[in-house]
Amino acid sequence: MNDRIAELIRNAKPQAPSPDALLAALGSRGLPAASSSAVWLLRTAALFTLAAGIGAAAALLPRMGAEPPAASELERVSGLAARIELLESRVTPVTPEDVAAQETRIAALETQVYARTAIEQAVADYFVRRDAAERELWQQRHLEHVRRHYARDMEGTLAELKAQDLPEAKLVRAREILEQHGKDIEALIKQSYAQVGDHRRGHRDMHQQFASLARGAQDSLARVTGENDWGSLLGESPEDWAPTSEFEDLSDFDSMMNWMRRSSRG
Amino acid sequence: MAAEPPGSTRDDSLVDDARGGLPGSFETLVRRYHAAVYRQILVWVNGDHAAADDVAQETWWRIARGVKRFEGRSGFYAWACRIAHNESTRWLGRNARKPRLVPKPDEEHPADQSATGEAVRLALSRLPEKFATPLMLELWEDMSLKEIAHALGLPEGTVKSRLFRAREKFREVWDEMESES
Repeated sequence: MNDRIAELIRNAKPQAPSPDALLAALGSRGLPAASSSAVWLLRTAALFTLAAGIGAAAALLPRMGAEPPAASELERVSGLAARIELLESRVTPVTPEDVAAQETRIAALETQVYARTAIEQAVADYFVRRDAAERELWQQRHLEHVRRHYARDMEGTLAELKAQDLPEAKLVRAREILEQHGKDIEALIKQSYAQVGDHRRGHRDMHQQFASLARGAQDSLARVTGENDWGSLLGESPEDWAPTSEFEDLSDFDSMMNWMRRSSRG
Repeated sequence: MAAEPPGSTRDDSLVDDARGGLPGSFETLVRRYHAAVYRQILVWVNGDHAAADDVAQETWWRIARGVKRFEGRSGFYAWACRIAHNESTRWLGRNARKPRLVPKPDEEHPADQSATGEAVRLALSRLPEKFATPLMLELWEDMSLKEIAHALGLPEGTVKSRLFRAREKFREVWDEMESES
């Protein structure tokens, strides 16, 4: 490395505060992980005592159930019997006309319920359509973003290979490998957006597949060039192609935009 | 700084312990990486120490709450840096419309006040995270290639290649800044 640049950066090293104040602040926000061993032991002891208390209470319960009913319980049961008798005496006989009227009323209410269900369905359909449109839009943005940056990275990689005096035939083959890698990446992104309903899982799978594609391309490139380490040139990290696992669904535009801003400076 | 001094507990073991609530494990991670994370944040928030304090606290709070979800696809430090970067971006977004005050001389951090130092940090903030991070770890935290590879969860060859490209990119940005001025 240019020593002047290294020295320049070294001299710009800023001071950092001690982590003690940070740990104290985290502890005051109720972060158990930042609390001391003594607090942890006290908490553990309290939980143990609570568990022992619950166990003892549970052991007593069967004995309490075996006791004969108290006088107050007998009074309560006889009071309930009297109330049932009173209610039964107030029941009036129902005529066929009454039943027909109730059926008519039920039918009217059911019609209203179905109408409401239809509106709910329409609203749900609208959201499905809106989500699909948003997904399409984000897919386009994502693909354009990746295409733009991959093309630039690919040309940079080929320029580096050329600078190393790689024969023309090998350069052509390297370009083919890199172009195919770009196509594979795009296909994978499209496939991820097609997984409707569980984007988080889709993105997680996608990350693993990015790594797998990069490994395949790296192997091919290594065979052509005789070099073994093309890791960063090919962007083996999933974050080169999509947001991290923090990107949980398509509504998390914040993460997507952060990622695009960050990677667009690459 | 050494990410993991010889004989000390590995990051992944500490993360496992922190997940299980073992006292002291999270604190060890904080003590190991706080300074490096803080310096990265400082670069992203334009050298504002008060902002860096707030963002660092929010970052570690999110790390502590999210450590159970950390799947280890990257190194712990790389994951922490991404959270720090997101938090810094949020902070910048929240403060973008506020009038920018001329920073007062910082008596607590006199070494951070030189114009060249500020320009270097500005140049670093213009590098992509994947290049700036290893560069800062190498030159500010004095980490070896092996230590950087472990902290970021990357092969050593990849770190070496990224450092090479980081230097190139820094030089480009630096030249651009010089021609602008």
